[in-house]
Amino acid sequence: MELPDLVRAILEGDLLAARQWVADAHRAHMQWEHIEPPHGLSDREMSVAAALVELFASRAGGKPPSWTTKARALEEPLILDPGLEQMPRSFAHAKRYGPEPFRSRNLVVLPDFLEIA
Amino acid sequence: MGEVLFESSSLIIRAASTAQLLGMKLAAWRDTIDRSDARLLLSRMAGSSEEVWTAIKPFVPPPQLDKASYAFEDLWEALHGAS
Repeated sequence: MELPDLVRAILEGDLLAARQWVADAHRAHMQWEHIEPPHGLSDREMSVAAALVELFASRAGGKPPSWTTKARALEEPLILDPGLEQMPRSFAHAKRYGPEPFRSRNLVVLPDFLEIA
Repeated sequence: MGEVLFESSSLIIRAASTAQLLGMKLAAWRDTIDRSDARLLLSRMAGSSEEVWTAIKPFVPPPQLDKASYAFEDLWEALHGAS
């Protein structure tokens, strides 16, 4: 279970794979504060990786690793949830209330993105 | 309520109804997977938007009613067009 696998699944729109990755990480009690920075990622992929780790650390009630602060915001908004832009109210809600690690990096997702049921 | 799947003198097992499942999906509303599932469920419900929302609402936890409401409006328009 490598973080780049999750990043690539999301960027390819394979949210089923992404959900499975998150569920597996949850079962494995992944310690988000100790996740090593991924290597070989583009700036865009790194922004997504940092947003994900910060989100999961927050949901687990912990802190993210320090490397996430170095991942910058994208210049243009990137919708990580395919088709969201076709749902006007949901899209507006995502832009306003999406998780802060994503909004701060110009990444658009709904507030409960990848939340485990 | 949903279809009875099993019944004995001491136990009744029911399937979740379409309205119940749709209420759960609208309350979750996490991503394209939830939207796709919700769209399928809504396509199987008959009635006006008010009638369908009335059927769904009891199955949405109160803290998620606002989210489910705007999700339903988006979903209804996607399926039936804006009224």
